[in-house]
Amino acid sequence: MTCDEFRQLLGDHLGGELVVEVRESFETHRVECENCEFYLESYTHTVKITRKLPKCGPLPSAVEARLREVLKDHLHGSG
Amino acid sequence: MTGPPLPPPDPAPPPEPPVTPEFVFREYAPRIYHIARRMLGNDADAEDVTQDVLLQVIRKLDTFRGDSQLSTWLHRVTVNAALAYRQKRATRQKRETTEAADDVLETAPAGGPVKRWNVGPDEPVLAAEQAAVIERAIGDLPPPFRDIYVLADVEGLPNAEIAEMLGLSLPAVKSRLHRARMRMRDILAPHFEGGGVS
Ligand SMILES: [Zn+2]
Repeated sequence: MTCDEFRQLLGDHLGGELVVEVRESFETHRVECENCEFYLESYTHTVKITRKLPKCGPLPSAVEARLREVLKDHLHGSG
Repeated sequence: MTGPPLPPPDPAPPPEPPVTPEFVFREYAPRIYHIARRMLGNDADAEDVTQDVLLQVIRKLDTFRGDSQLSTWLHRVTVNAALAYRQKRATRQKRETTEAADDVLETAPAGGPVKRWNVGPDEPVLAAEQAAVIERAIGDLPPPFRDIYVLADVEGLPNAEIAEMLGLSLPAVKSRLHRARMRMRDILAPHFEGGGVS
């Protein structure tokens, strides 16, 4: 397995989707190639920290005020 | 003297709150806004999209049976509205390079030396400056890659659902997601190779 082939498999590796035979050569390359081991670690870490981003936060108050103004007939209409 | 008053008996589980326009606004406007802002990379555009989506939802409120059905639908409407908004803006600006960027995303080639990242202890919550670095990096992704990255890795939607939303094949979603992650890794690398976020 080349370093490039190794990289192409990272998504499937992360999703637990590598089939057994591929997984064996993937793990072999990983042990033998420090660059790819480091790459895998950093790729995995990238995804991990992105998943920790807050999905949501409060609406900025100015935005909320403007939206409420535009939608006021709908918000207080039929209920 | 009597003892402290007995706690009230266990109340029945509260009924699902009625889905009123006000409920939709409070519950969903922030989520719609934040998804749109990440996809469009712009506060004002996100506000327009939020307004558009809220109007669509409030008008169709009668057709929803409950909150959970609404939530799934909202994701979809928000993504569609954001895509449509970007399309409109691109046409106005004489077509940006979004189409050319569809399948090209430069990433560091394999084979060169890779430095180990210096990552701190695993904290459940990101430090503010780390979150800011990641948000900026997401903003730097070309739109077709940013959409998929936001939906998959920020919002946590399954690839199959994203494929359906964006009208792409599952392999296309996986391939773009992988390239977006590699690009994100490259953008973040300088911040982690030296030890901690700079
Ligand atoms: Zn390698």
